[in-house]
Amino acid sequence: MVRWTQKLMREVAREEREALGLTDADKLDPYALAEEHGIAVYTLSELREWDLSDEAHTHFFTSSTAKWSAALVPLGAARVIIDNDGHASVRRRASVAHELGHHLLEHAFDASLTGNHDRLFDQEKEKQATFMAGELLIPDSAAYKAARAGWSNAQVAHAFGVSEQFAQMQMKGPRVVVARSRRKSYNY
Amino acid sequence: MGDELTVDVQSLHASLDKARESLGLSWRQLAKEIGVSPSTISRMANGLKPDVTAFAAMTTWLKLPAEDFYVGNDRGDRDEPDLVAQLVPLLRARKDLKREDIEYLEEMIGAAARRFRAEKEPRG
Repeated sequence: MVRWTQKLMREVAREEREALGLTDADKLDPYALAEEHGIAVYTLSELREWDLSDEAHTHFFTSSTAKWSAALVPLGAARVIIDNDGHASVRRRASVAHELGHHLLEHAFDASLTGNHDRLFDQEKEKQATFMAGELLIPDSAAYKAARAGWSNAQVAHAFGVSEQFAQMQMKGPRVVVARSRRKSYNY
Repeated sequence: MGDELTVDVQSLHASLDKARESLGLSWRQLAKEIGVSPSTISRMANGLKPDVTAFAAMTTWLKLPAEDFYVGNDRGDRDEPDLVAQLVPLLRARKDLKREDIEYLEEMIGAAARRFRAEKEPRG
């Protein structure tokens, strides 16, 4: 299997954004990307029509809403994403992009819900899917442009349809690099 | 692709998967090798038909007659999805899941599988 470096993952995200006709500055709609791949996205609430109990719905939608955000479910060769619609839109967009990250990196489904949790949460896979969500929603090149332009987290969040916390996560590295290069140029 | 031509996408996807595995390629690498977009292959995995150009590129690459993949010409290499055994998702969730959370997740995935089965009629 592919050994995923950050460079390779960025390349995958770039290809996928380009396939949707987006420039680096455009906001990506993760639901459109799922559709491009033929992957159906079911909301938690829609599943009540498919015999999901009120207890299970309320559990994730309201009472323990922080426990679960999204899932990529393999059904034979097909995939579906389940989306916790009890969450804010920006959070849902990030969660669906995260699950698409798993799909685009072709992560194996070797976990078990009933086995031990170390297998359910493969740290490397989760880190990679989080990286992909970042690159899909705010490409590195766009983050550098925003850092050079001195954008706040709120401006980045608004432009790319993410939370300010998510914007901060993507902007942290580029801001450090841009600040460092400015300090260097002032010293000359 | 024209409505008159019905491609057995499951069989074509299964043939591509076998070739891909024997060559040790990822799906993305295979798509590039064939000259189609990775999403074309994902869409097939999800029951959607490729367009004529992509279908021709794939059968040519497989060195198999296109007719082999018309509905009714079962190549016998399709893998019927086992919707019960494969309910093992990749989750975006907290790590401190309790028994109750797991049970509700199982129930939710079961509901998703029911919906998927019900809506599984060929899409295109």
